[in-house]
Amino acid sequence: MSSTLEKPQIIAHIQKSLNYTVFDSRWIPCSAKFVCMGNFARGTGVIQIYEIQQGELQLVKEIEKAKPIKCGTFGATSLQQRHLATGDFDGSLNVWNLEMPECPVYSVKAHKEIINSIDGVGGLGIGDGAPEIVTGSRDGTVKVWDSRQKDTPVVNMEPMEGETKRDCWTVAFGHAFNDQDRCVCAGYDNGDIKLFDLRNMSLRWETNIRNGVCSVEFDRKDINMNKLVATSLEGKFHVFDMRTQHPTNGFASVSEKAHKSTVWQVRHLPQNRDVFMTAGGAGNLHLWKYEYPAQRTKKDADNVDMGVAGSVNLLQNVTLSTQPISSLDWSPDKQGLCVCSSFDQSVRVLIVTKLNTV
Amino acid sequence: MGTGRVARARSSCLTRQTLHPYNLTEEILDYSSLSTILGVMSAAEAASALVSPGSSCRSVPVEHLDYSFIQSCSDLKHLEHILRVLRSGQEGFYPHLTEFCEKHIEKLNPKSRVLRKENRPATVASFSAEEWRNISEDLQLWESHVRLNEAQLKRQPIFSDVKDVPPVRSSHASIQTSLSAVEKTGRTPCVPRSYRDWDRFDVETECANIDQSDRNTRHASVSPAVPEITETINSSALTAQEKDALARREKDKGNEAFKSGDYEEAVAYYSRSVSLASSAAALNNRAQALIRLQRWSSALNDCDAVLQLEPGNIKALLRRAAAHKHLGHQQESHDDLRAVLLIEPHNATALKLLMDETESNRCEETHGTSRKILIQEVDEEEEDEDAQDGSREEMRDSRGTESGIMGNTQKMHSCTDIQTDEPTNHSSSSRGWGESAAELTPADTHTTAPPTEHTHLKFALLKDDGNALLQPTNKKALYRRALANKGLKDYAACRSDLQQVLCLDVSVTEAEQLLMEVTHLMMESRCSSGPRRSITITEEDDDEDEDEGSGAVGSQRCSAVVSSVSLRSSNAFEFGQALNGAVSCGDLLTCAELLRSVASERLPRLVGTQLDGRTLGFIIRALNTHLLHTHPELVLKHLQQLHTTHRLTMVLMLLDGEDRARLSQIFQKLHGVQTEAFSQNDVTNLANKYLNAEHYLLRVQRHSSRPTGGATADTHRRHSDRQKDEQQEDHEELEVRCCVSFDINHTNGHRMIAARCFWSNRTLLRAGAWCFHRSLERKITNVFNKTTETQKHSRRAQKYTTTAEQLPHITHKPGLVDVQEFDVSLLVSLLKQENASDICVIRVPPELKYTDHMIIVSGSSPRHLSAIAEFLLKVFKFLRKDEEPHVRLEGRDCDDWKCIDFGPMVLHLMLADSRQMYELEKLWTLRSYDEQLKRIPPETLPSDFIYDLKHTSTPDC
Repeated sequence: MSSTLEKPQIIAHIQKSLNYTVFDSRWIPCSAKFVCMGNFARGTGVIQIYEIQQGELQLVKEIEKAKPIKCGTFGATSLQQRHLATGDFDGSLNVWNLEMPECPVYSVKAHKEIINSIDGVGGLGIGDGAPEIVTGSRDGTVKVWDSRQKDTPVVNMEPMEGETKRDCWTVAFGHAFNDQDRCVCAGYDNGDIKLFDLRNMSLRWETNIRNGVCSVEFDRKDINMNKLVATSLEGKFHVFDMRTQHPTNGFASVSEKAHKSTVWQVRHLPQNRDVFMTAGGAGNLHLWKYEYPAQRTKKDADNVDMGVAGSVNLLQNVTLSTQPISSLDWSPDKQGLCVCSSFDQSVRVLIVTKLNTV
Repeated sequence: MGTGRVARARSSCLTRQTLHPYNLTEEILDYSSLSTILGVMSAAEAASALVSPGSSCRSVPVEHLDYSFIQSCSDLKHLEHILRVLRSGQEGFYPHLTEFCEKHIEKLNPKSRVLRKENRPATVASFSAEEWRNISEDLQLWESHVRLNEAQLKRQPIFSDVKDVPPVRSSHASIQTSLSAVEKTGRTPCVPRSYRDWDRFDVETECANIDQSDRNTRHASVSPAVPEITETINSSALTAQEKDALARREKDKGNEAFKSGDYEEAVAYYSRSVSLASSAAALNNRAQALIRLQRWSSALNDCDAVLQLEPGNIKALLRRAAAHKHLGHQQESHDDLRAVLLIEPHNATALKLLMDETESNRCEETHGTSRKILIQEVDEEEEDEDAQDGSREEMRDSRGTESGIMGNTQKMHSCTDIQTDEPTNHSSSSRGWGESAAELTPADTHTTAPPTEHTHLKFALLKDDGNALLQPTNKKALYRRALANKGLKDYAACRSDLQQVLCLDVSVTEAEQLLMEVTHLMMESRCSSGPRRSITITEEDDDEDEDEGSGAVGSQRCSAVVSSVSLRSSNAFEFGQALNGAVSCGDLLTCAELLRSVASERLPRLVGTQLDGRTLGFIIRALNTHLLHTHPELVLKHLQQLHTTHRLTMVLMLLDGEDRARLSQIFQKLHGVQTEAFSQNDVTNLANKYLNAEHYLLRVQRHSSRPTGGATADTHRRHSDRQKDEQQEDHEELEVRCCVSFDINHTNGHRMIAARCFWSNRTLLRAGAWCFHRSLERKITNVFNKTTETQKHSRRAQKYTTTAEQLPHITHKPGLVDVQEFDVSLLVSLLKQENASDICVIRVPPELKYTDHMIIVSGSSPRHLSAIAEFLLKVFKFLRKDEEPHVRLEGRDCDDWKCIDFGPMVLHLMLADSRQMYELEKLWTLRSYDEQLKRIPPETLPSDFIYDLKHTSTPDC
């Protein structure tokens, strides 16, 4: 009991069972509401909005759509509009006004196959530059969209002709600290991680972590890129120090075997970039803190700077369910509040205490 | 090879088992083999049950599963391996060895991965009520707050077009997803642009892009060394909420950058935050980052800005002080530090900085001593004479700085005059602590005459003249010398000074407080000398402040303090403080003075809240040594009055032998005294009250030599027939006394449990457990048996004993200090204790996800069965952790079979007949020796029938 008082504690505040498979859940910025996206057993897609009211979840709105919805983001919308961008099983990218969800604000057939992952930047005051959405799909392409441009992506990242197309499982924006710089990181089913520089329109870096990359995320999107966490299929995750890129060795990294099963998600705390939570295939959550090394760079034999990786510290771990936790999202407004959905068809609101003292 | 070894080990286990079938004191005992059946089966059967399972633990020899080996092993990998084997249960079930191993690993490497355990999410129960209230209230507050915000957000018109959003990315470029391809093509293919694109064509960015891509091809894509972060954000189109949120986020980013050591970046982000909304926090943090970057003047500006927003911001003041210091503005730096100390007198940082400054000043001093003294004189003057000079404030703060000397020359002149008049004044000044503990001449201290109005008047008069000639009754001088000594860390001298002050006048509360502080410091400085330094200065500075404060009030206060004996001590709190101070430093003299100054009638009220055994003992000691021979009548009066304190009877029993001896000594001496003030009878009566009362009270001796928790209250009771009647009325009180007796040196928690046990029948068991932990059960039972005559109490006591006695057997196990977990070993020992017969423990293989252990026992009668069951439930309830479920007794109405499902253990309590009939053992231990099963051909069994789980062969021993 005494040790519980020092460490951060993860409290399962509210749990709600749903009647559909939920794939993604996201907080609506500047509200006590979140959206859950998934598919009904009858094969249609669903978006539900829940609001926390006195420790209870109230269903505010339910929207049914033709295709199951795999992922969604608020990253590319303004705080006033708060439009939700979703990717569905059919490969369509839709932007919804949740007040008037009948028809999408923006819609495009983005990919030939399911959109596995979506991310946005430039909205909500996070990231300088134009608001853009990136989608990664099973068809092997990663595309960047601007909702002001119809039908065609602004950037398309695809394998060369003749190359095998790998399933892209995850995408993330980062490095958006001024109007020009921006990066997209994508993770593929064969363990490839690719970093695309949108300013130079080039592939900046790639590596392979030998196991399918389930989730990548920059610690913050709107800074000179600092850290990248990539989680993998067999329970490991890697933290890359993105400050110093060595011409041959790339970025320094530290890896940690956290879960006995797939690490499905990683999410950084919006209020502290060095704290992040990983969600595992066995229904467990691990809360980590990255510790910087004493010196973040060192000189190699040729006197070229190379990065030095720090270490990760386990702050807390809990087991919530027996099924994989498919999504996790920290509230951008309230530190320590987060929502997670799992394949046991339930969504949980968690409170993580003592995050300000870690 | 490996299997052979395991087999040998198993046979050794077996012999032990056959020798001591129930010997749980041996850790070796093995519940683990697929089915270890005791009691019901013969030893041979048990042997046949012991089949070595497939040994995946080949790399860990059995000898290594041993306390001494684990203790000595420092190879972490090997230990982790051992732990894994232990946890797997393949080599046996050794909960305490496992725990021991875990602890050892934790010692070697607290972050070891094997120590990670699966936790459940925290619940309300994991928090104290207050914490939980905080959490939930915080959330509620946020909910309402965010709802309000959202409503506001919705009311605002949407200016989506007004915003200055960068244009759509112009080139519809595609990136090849392999690096080699990029290298081959060199650069992205040039896309023909439409006319609309050309309209948006920006030469600058385009050029930059080209340059960038050129550079990129040359050095295989290395990030630019310095990131260009714009330091301002255009906020024209943002709403207030957005601005706030954004500013907060930028500040967070700054904080993070600061934490990781990128101060430049941190400054940039703080600047961005400030450009959106200038908050004190962001500015303040920027100041700190700038200080780290050693940009002092910018830091100074930021601090100024913060202080404009929040005038009393301590951090800003400290930072400004640091900036000033580095810019060479000693004066301002000093001002800021003083300001900090005014707001927060114990601010360690400020004190440290100030001390550094004083240190440097002291160095200076060695160069020009004479000048220094002058300035100190100035200060002394300021305090003692009630100067009305406007420049006084400045003057004080400028002490010790060059500029101070420059700016106040005029004042100094006047001071030098005074100095020439009264050279002795200087020597007694506390301000002189920098040089030495100025010795008071004997002439200064020789008078110990009590203060009179007359001398005070004279004192005040002289002061008014501005002439600080020292007076014979020089409490103040002594007090100052004490301060000075304290500053010089000569605590012993300081203490003696203070005691002298208190001798002169007990009511000088400052002196008392200081005395307490000094004693405390003295003890601390004995332990360690290094980090004490800053604390010392803390006190010193604090006192200085206080002193200056009193200086401002002037001499009136000084005399007021002296003359207000009665006024001061009328306050119970003040009195308590003083008394406590005296007790804590063992200062009998002070205590005696204190007692002397107090009117007896008011003593109970003053002392009432404080009285415990220690204090009473101390008071008795003080009365005995200091007051008895001079004021016997006062002593008697005090004792008479003290006896009216309602807790006294209780407290009396807490006195130790010596104090009791002293008490009787006092009464003997009082007997011998011949006065008119009181008669011999009074003394005898009082002595009876004190000493006889004690006869029937419990006498408690403390054995302080025992380690913590060994607070054995050796309670034995002397019976007094005379008091018997009274005693019976006092049962309730006696109980409290018992509690109190345990109080003596227990922590709060135990105290609570003890108290609870006496007040509530329900929790008697808890008390029992507590008791056996502390090996007090016998004594407590004594207490109850002998002191409580009424039936109610004896029943209570009996109940209590039984529960208390039932548990102790468990504790005889080595290495088991606290029973914390309700596990198999505990369960078995409890069963044995309850005389359950034929205990059979079956380890259910993990493949059957039903339970871990099946325990079957027989009882002699239905009554016996239910007694065992109820007792086990009780124990389980007591040891139950919050996350464990409640258990229920199945078959309450059934006479011959009861069952409790503890989760990892299922217990069947049966009468011998039913047991024979149902043969549960065979149900759970299907093996080749089961004749019935043998007869059935395996192919006719159901497909999912688990037959002889891993091993069909019979064991070789």
